[in-house]
Amino acid sequence: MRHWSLLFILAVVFGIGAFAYAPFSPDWWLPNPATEPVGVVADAARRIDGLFLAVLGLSGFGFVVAWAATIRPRRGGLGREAAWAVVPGGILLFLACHQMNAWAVAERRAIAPPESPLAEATARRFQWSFAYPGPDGLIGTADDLAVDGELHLVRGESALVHLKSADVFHAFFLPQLRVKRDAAPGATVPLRLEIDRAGRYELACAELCGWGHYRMRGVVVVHETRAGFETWLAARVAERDRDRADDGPTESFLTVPEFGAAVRDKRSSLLAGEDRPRGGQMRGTTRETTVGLRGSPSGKP
Amino acid sequence: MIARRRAVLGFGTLLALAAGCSKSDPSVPPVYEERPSMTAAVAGKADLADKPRIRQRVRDVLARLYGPNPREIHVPAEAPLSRDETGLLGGLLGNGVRTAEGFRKLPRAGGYAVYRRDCLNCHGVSGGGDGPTAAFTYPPPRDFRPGVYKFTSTPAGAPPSRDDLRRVVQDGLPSTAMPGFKALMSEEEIEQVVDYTIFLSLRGQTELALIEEGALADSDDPDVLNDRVVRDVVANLFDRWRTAERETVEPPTPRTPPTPEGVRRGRDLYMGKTKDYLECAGCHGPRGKGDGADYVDRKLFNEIVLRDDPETRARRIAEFDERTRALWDRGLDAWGAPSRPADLTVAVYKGGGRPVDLYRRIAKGINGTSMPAHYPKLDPGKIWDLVNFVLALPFQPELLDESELANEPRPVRR
Repeated sequence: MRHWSLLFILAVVFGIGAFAYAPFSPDWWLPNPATEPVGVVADAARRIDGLFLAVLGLSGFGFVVAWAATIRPRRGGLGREAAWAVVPGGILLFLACHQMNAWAVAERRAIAPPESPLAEATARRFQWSFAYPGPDGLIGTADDLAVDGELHLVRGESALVHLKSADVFHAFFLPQLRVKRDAAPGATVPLRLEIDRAGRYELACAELCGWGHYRMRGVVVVHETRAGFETWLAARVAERDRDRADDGPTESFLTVPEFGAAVRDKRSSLLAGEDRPRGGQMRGTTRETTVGLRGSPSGKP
Repeated sequence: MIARRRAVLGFGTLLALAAGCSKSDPSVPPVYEERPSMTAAVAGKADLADKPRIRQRVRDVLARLYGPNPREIHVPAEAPLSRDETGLLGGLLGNGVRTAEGFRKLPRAGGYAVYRRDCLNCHGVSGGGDGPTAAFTYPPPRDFRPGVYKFTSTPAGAPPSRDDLRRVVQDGLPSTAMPGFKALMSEEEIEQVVDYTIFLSLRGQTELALIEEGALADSDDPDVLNDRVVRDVVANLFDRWRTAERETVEPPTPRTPPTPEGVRRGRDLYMGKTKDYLECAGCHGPRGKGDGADYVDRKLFNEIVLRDDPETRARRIAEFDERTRALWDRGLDAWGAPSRPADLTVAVYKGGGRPVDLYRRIAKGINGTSMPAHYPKLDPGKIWDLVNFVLALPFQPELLDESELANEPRPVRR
């Protein structure tokens, strides 16, 4: 037992070993699809990973340097004081500049240029609901397609999704795409998703929203081609218009009514599971937040 | 000496760590909960409170037919469950099968495992709608044991078809706590859990039937609930499920186009202005907001059901005046939970928003609630007019504005 202190080497071995192994595991490092533990499946996610690694590398290097400096501590001296102030400051400045592009891609591009959203995601306790606009291009009208738990996208196509909450705070969390955005009640959060691998990605809620938070999950399905997406959409629309349960002919009688916006507000309050006071606050807030999306067909005057 | 003490300490720590990481399940094995009427008198229900011998017989029969606990499932012959790829009846329920040669593993987790993972927290071990999170939900989770389901395609009062259950599991019930599992379960898992739901219903219905049968019998009767009686009860039950599966309600005529005239015809039916004298507006309200005069005031309902402390609910209901009390009792559904008519202006339909779903809601009603069946009384063309009206109403609220029956003041529009 004399050399028991050698056990501490295990900590070092484990630390280094974990760093060496992690990039090859889909779970140990930042989560990736099991089929692609090393690659990252979206451009924006690669930028986030790049930032993460830059911060990790810099702080790791800084930690080693600072630790080395404590081995033979020396006091005083203007030069050393200045170095200790300027070098960390420079690192912070570098990080501040370095992250700007990633931020711009993740946040600013979502609202410029203005365009109509591919879908609207509504978080409610404890389910993700998605609405796709019908032929009129507006969400909240009679020809909408409502799908629960599944968001469908096309590979390589940049899609705008409007994120809303019907009741409390939720967060739209796609770990494999490094996306995590809060869904605030009353606000419309524009979200831009572009994924360069077809497949199914896990969607979770990342804001404690109640007793069922742990099972508030969904899936993002990325189709290989636009045609695949259209086929899925057509099948769901046919299902929505079904007037016979067996496989008889189904006719679609779509109308384009004019009262969409009012209904949308009512629906989101009903989905909350209770009658909340209508009009006033809720509706005003919704209209206000869509001002940022000028020109979008859903931002109705 | 110190070194030895350290070694012991280290070994103990390792042991504790190993125990903490092991996968053995420290929880008590799950057991089916019995109905209260097995052991106590329940108002308005048959019970076995003072018949311990018959009670024991019911327990034995249930354990023999359906297994003693959820970990050991027995499947009665001829049960309306699906067969797995080897032709084993009820093969989707478990992860293995015990044969004369020993235990044979099945290539799936099984309905019970899926149910325990995703359903049990609300619907409970025996499917009584009494899981730990049930108290936090309104509407409450379905109690599978009476075998009655609200949103079905089968004739009024009949058990649901397999398709109905599959649809609810897949798509959920919008505006309730029941989520859609299509994105969260594989298709195989959905089939397994549908089978397990039917299994729990069969078990619950058998339990109920045996209690009723036993309550009628003399407690000294040595021949009570003999094998022939049990066989009849079970055969009758299975037959009802099989018949329902064959008799789903299909609209006999295709949907009429939702022209403005058709929608207005539906509006007139809704308001009871035709010779059919429908009373839709009595419950769903003159403006379709689910606030008709035949139900408790919606504001009061929401206050009591959604906002109040559940523990004070009984006291508040006792304080109602006579009329409110009568309306409240009327609004209780077959499971004893307060229910309210749907708000038709919000385009959210629990039983599905497809035209065929709405047709079925109107044609055959909603099981266990005050929504009645209309089919033989109302011809299919008129039902389609009503469907078209209901689908149009959320987007054309003025449909009910111009009606002279809507005599409440118009709200100010901003």
